[in-house]
Amino acid sequence: MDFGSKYIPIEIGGLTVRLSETIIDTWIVMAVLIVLAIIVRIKLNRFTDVPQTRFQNFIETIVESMDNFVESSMGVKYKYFGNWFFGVFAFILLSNLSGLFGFRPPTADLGTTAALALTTFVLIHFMGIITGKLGYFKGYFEPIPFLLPLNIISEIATPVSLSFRLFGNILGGSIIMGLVYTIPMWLRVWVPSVLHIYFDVFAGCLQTFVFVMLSMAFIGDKISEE
Amino acid sequence: MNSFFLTVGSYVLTLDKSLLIDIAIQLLNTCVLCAILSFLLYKPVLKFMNARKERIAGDLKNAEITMQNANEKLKEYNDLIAEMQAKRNGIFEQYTKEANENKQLIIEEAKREANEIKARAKLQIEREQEKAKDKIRLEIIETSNLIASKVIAGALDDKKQTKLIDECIKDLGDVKWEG
Repeated sequence: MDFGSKYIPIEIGGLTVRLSETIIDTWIVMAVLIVLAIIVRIKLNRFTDVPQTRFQNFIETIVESMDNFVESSMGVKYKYFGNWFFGVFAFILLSNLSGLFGFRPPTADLGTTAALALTTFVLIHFMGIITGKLGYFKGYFEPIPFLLPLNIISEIATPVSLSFRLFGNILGGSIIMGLVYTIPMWLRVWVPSVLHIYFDVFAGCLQTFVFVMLSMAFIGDKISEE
Repeated sequence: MNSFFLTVGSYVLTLDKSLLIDIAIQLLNTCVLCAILSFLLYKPVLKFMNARKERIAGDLKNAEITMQNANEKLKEYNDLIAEMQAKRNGIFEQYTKEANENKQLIIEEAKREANEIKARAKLQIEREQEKAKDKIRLEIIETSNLIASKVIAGALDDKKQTKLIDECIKDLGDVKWEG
């Protein structure tokens, strides 16, 4: 059984790039989200002060929830992070749920989760330097300079744990679902549906929430430390 | 090759250059997606909701100011009404007092006039009485004289005549006027 991401090797400027299922599925997820965003942008002019449609209610609910979530985690001053985390949240959520439609979730690939964790890592340290100045570097020598290597490892562990947590959970779910589909045909009517609810919907939503919440918490910690 | 689960045309996890290229591609994809979603969805919707929030807050503030103004006006009008009532009561009391005073004056004047009329009438009655008395006296005297002359004519001496006249006058003095 093959649970891997299928790919076609492509040569671009001497580099062998894998045009994989992950990349294609990512583009599909992106296309869906961009189409949704375009529809919202078009319909925004018809949005009323008191929402009249379920669509407006839905869009307002998710945007407002994200805005409140960012404000409570990072403070009013850093509400602009909502722009970034909204995109990350929507991408991870739809990627995790794409397994329901027979796609291989892009988040079941370390390339995707590592890229997302890397952005969090960059944001953590960028904000640390911006807000803490010299105090940021001083923090690595605390409580005693001898602990500098441990502090550095601890900082590097953050994106590693973030990326592997999401990757492992989603890949694990995909493998289990792949195995489940080997059961006899008459059992496939109800067993996979129940497991899809758990592995794709429940675990997918939970892992999305965990990734975004931890990213906000790590950045928020770095900001408040300084 | 540092591949752990290398399969031809398929991979689960590779720790090599391809992973770095994948990360770079996904990084670009994520950044592009976040930028597009932020530009087309998150920012405009948030802007719309914030504008609505501000508009509602403004409306509430305006309503509060209008309510405050209305309350001030109401208080002003209530004060004015109370002032007018006080003024009205004052005017009413003043005119009632004046009216009572006038009433007293009129009554006193009427009484005084009535008394004067009464006194004048009494005086006039007394005068009329005196006048009538005098007139009657004169008539009696004349009548007495007439009687006397007739009696004299019927052999009456002076002594008898005088006695008769005196009796007549005496009787007249006892006459009382009524009315």
